[in-house]
Amino acid sequence: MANRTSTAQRPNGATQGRICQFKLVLLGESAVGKSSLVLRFVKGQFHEYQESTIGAAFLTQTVCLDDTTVKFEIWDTAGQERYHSLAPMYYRGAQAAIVVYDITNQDTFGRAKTWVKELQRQANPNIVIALAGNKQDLANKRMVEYEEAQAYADENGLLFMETSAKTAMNVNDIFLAIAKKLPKNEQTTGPGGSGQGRRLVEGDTGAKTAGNCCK
Amino acid sequence: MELKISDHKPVSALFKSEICVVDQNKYRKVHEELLKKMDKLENEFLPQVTVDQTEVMFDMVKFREPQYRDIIIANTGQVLAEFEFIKKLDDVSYCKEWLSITPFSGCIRPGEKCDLRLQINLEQPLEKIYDILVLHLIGGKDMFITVSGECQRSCFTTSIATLCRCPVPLLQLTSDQLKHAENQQSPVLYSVPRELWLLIDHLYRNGLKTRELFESIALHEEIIRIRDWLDTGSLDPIPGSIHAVAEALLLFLSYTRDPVIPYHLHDACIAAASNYQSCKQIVLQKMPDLDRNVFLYLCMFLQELLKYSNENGTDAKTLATVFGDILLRDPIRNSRPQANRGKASFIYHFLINDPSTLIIPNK
Repeated sequence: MANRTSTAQRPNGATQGRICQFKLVLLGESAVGKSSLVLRFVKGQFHEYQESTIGAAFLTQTVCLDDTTVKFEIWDTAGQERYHSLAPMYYRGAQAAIVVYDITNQDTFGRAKTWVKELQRQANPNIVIALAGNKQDLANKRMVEYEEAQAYADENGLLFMETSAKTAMNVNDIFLAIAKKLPKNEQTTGPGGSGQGRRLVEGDTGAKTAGNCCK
Repeated sequence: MELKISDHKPVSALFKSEICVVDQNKYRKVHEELLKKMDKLENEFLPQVTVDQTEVMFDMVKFREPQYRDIIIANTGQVLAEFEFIKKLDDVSYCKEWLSITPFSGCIRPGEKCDLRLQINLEQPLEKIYDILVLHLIGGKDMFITVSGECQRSCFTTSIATLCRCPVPLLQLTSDQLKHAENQQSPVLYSVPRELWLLIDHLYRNGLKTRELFESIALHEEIIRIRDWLDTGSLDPIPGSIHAVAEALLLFLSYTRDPVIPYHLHDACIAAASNYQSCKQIVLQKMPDLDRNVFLYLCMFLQELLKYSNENGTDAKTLATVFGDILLRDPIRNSRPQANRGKASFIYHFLINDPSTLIIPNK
């Protein structure tokens, strides 16, 4: 804890040590690549045959901005329609959402629009929503035009990018864009914030070990 | 600088130092690398488990015939996994009332497994078994387990109004016939349900002199056989001992979709319990016709039974207590034990007074 606090107070580093934690949820029809986007973002990996998610997977990832560090608690949900009624458990209380569709499948774009509508109606009113047209590596089989999706995103105030979990195109960028757009004042939790006790333990231990200078 | 730990006396120290110049680029690089390392560690140390099935299917589920399925949760992560089933938004419990999960929460050490048993016991009318359970790891992910199965309908959980409209035994009905009967679109064919008549008629012919008729517990299989005999409309003689038939009668009256005396009349019945005339008024004026038929038919049978008290050893008070609890059952079973005496007193009147004045010919 001591190490972190001193980092935060460093005069020339300004607020560099500040960590803001946000809950982010991924929504979208099954097989559009939600889990693949997360896997690429968090672990830098891609599996051609990613298993279908039956539940809600949980991972964390930190991104550094100029002035703050944003830590995402990522909930990757099951896309199958029968699990639809369970989605509010995950988007309720989320500060950010990535709604994913597959650019080679027009239906998934329609489904993405209904997810956006549902979020606008039922989620946190300040939620930052990003639309991700995934599988950009298959652009030769494209069924959803970039301009169409961009226009839809503009109309609804969404961030929009076409992504590819396979080639990593725009994957970090979309998370980064969300991190930038998120408000950093109210929900922010400074280092050592009470809610994150569990999650900061490992980091603290590490810091202490490094500080234990024995001769 | 190399870190060494003294073999005699471990020494550690904290240094406070002022740093004049910070290379922002290097600082940022180190900072990001550390954060990456921490992310990696944190994700590695998240609890991880696998379940051997996420689709749990039950065979045809029948009234009061429990079935179970076992699932195995294995801790495939590096830390202790604490699991629990959590309720979905707006649900009151983590599973439906027909299901039980043991254990519904627990701890699994890395590399170890835990068996969970999902048991179904159907005691209410249900079209289908279907629910999605949410298995949550504390500090980690959620998994969905879908429970499904077909349900077989039974006269035990069907309403009196429906049964009186069924031209054939329940399992011989077409779905259209059933729908019409349930929506009360088809005509009333019997003044009391055929199934009730079969049970009471059998007891009347064979059980009037039997001791402890409603006080002993029959074998579970006997009840199941009687259930199937009633639902299929078998032409064989009724299976099971006389005590099993008596218990089947109690079950029948306990599980009909609504109690024989409708819920909204319970308070009035209990309030009127000290006065037979008031009790009569409720039965005559407030009870729906078919419910009244069943009530009076049952009371007349119980009066017959009381004529043989010397042989069967029963008395009106005992019967009033047993049937009061059933005919005036609470929406949540035994949620008002303080009302039991009032219920028994209400029934008692109809066991000791001549009910023939209450009989109204079918219109």
